[in-house]
Amino acid sequence: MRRLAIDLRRFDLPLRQSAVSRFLPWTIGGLLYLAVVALAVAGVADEALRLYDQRTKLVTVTLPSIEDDGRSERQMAAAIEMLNRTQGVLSAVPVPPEELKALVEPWLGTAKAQLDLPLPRLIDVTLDPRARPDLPALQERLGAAIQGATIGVEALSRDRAERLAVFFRGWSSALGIAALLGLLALVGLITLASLRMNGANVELLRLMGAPDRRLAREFERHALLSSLQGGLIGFALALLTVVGLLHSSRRMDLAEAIELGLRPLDWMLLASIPIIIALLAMGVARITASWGLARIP
Amino acid sequence: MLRLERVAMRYGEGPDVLHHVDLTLNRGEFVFVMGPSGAGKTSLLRLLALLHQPSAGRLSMFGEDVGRLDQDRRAALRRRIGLVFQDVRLLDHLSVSDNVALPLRINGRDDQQSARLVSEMLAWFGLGAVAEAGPATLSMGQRQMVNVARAVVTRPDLLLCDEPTADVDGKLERRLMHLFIRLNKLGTTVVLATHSERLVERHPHPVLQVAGGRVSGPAAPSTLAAAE
Repeated sequence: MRRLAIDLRRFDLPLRQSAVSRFLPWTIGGLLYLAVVALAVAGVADEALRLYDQRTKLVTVTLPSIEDDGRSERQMAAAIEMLNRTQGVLSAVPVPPEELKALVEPWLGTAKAQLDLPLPRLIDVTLDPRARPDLPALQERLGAAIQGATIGVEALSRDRAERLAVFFRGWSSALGIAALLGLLALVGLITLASLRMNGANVELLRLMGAPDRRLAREFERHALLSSLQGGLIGFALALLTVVGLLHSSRRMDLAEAIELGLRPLDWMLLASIPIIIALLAMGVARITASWGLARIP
Repeated sequence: MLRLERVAMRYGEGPDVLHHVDLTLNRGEFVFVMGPSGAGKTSLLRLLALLHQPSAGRLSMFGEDVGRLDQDRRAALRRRIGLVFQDVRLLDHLSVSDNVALPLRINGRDDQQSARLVSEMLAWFGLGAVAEAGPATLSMGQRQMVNVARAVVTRPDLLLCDEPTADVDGKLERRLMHLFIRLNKLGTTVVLATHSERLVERHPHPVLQVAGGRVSGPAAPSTLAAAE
């Protein structure tokens, strides 16, 4: 094992001595840190959305109380029709007046609840949890059609949380993938730069009979070691950051009290990133070096 | 072993620097290459080291037509060639012993055998004490010895030397020539480019004359002296 470690670090070309190459592990570490944190945030957002999706999404629409029974019925019918036309609404059912009175009894008492108090009219709306209808827009449309019509605050709060989660999932995934692609592009560029800087040494080794395959393997090994070295440091720091973020998120008061976290599969995927990236970096370095060597006569 | 038929060579898109070279060298021959600066001696050695392809003609080496070889076969042929550069090129990030061991590693020799050969070679040159030192710490003469040791450690079939004694004192010159002659007696073909007429006079081997990119000879040194 010790022998293997020595051989892995032994380079015929001075790849570990040049300034650009020394800079490689640190840059890889930084980009990998960014990628892991971003992808972890995307994973947390995805998990939050999954938890929301598992819960039935009920929305209460409130229409203000009015004296005129005929107008009240027309308003109720218009609201129900508008709700049923909205994408993602599974059902819209008016809450019967008796049920409404039962709801206020704990506060007003039985006697007072029997009084003919003007109570708002409620509609129970069941939404498809995966459809995510635009509740603020619906609220606006309802308000325009029926003055004073509102959607329950809790539903709007959950809607905002879901939108935020969708936003973070999208942008964090994009940022994480961009960082990983940038990392691989950087490996390619540094391989090309190292190849140019080592032109005379490449010629020397070729003169001794080193085939280009062997030379390309040097760059490949260097990329692998740099990626493992920088990648593991970046990953360890990213892990600490993610754990810290999850820990501090417990103090957040999220809609429907969901708890932010990552699934075991997400943890496994995150843990595999440094290894996958090291293997990809190795491949990129080998392909780039082979391409560059083929252009050196 | 080495045959050039109407060979021309050029650098990139430039004009030919070697013209119509016809030359045959057999196994175990020792030839000097002489000529004024810029005549084409180094170009001839670079061509023989397979660093360049002929722009015309045919070059065959060890029974193979070099023009038809793929990259791997060319690399395999190069492993049978030792090259002593005019400019000493050592890899400064490697120790002296690792520099000398490099061709052995490229040839796929095992570490134990390589270590023994390197150790013998360094001892012969009196470089045992600096085996683990970096080349940057060596004197010019020591660097040239490492350069030569690296070229001959594999006991190549063909040894190409470009002014190997140019920057060394008389004692080291004699030592290097002794080594080249010994290798030659063991079967290595030696092609040695030099400006030194004294060296050629002292060692009676045929001489290739290079002038204006044309190669003539090989002629016996006595013939050369008579012509002058």
